[in-house]
Amino acid sequence: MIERISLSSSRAERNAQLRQLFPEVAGVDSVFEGGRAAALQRLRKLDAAAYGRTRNSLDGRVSRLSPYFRHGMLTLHEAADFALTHFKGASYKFVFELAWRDFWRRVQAAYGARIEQSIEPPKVPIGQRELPEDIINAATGLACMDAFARELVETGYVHNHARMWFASYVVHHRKVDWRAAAQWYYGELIDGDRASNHLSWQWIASTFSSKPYLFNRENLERYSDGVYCEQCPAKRRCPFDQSYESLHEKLFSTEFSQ
Amino acid sequence: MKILLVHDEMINESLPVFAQYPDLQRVFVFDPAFIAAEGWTMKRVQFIADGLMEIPNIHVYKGALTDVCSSLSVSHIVTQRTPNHCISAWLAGLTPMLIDYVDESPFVRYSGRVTRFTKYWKTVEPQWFPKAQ
Ligand SMILES: Cc1cc2nc3c(=O)[nH]c(=O)nc-3n(C[C@H](O)[C@H](O)[C@H](O)COP(=O)(O)OP(=O)(O)OC[C@H]3O[C@@H](n4cnc5c(N)ncnc54)[C@H](O)[C@@H]3O)c2cc1C
Repeated sequence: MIERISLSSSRAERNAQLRQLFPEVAGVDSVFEGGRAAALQRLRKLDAAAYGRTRNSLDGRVSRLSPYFRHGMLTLHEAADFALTHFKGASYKFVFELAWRDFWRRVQAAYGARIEQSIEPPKVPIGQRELPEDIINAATGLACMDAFARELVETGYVHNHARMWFASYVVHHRKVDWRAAAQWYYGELIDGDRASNHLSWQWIASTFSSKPYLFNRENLERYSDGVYCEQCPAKRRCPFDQSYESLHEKLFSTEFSQ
Repeated sequence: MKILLVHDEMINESLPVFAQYPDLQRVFVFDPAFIAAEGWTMKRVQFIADGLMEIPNIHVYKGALTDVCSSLSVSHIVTQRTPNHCISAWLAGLTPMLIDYVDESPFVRYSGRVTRFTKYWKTVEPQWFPKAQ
């Protein structure tokens, strides 16, 4: 059965219409407005110089352009041209990050569906657990991770640093099979892209990088301005409150078994 | 019939493929089986629909891609080339079908191996930041 759809020009009506048309598709309404006009509007707000200085912080001047790149509403070339025209050499970091997206797409072109499996052997023991409900439901009891999961499901957008922390927690602390986690994460993201997503999960897991990505509380607290740690019910037994050496020792010293 | 098949990475009328084929009927298909396989949530479907609203004269369908193509008697498709293996697999379900691909505008020129980002960046960096002589 096929059906020609006449989409309503009112966004609210259109969103309701799509819910009716696709009752099996779950999830909340989009907080991002799609389209070329919205992409250009966001691009014009880019401060590539401030981006370079602040991008690692959760409240830094990141662009939030990824959903637009993902759907072709804006091209990487256009964004780099804009940044260089307005910010010259100060746009270096921004263009460098755009290049990551291009790189991952080139890896996808080379490997195809194989990017959905570990490309290289992991450099540390990694687990194969199923994705647990407490992670999906934002109920781990860790204020930071629960906030990142909620943000993912509610908005479809998460800051890069939070994506890295979250993936590292899921893969290395909880020993979840990165493929299961990546697939769930991909579906929830509004910028969900097999290349950037699955290959970033592999980069964290160390199946497409030379070492696993780990973080500690000091790092998370610094770049999140302590907002999660202050309120965290687990702040006195924080699993990340360790040096990198002891984290490494704790997570990888014995071969993991389920 | 020959159509311009708009997939989910080309929702933007200013992309070259649209200018290159201005007279082709533009078609976008929300294929429930594809959406389910991708695991997309509603916010993504809505985000895409926002973008489709800005593309003039596009026909939007709900249904299996193969059924849409056969009901329109499509024998020839033009679309944008993509490394996205999921889109490629979706299009492969249409065989036999003549498909012409138009390249995306590249971010950089690079034909080396893609093992590690640093090696790639070292090669392409001067295309955006030429080294001072
Ligand atoms: C576990 C994990 C999953 C991810 N999944 C996706 C995904 O599905 N889709 C996606 O587009 N990105 C993904 N990324 C990469 C990155 O997190 C996002 O591109 C970025 O956070 C998007 O936000 P922004 O547009 O504000 O980025 P900004 O920091 O403003 O960067 C500008 C642009 O550069 C590109 N970029 C920046 N950092 C990266 C990066 N590390 N890898 C690839 N491209 C980058 C993006 O296109 C981004 O829009 C993932 C990263 C991790 C660690």
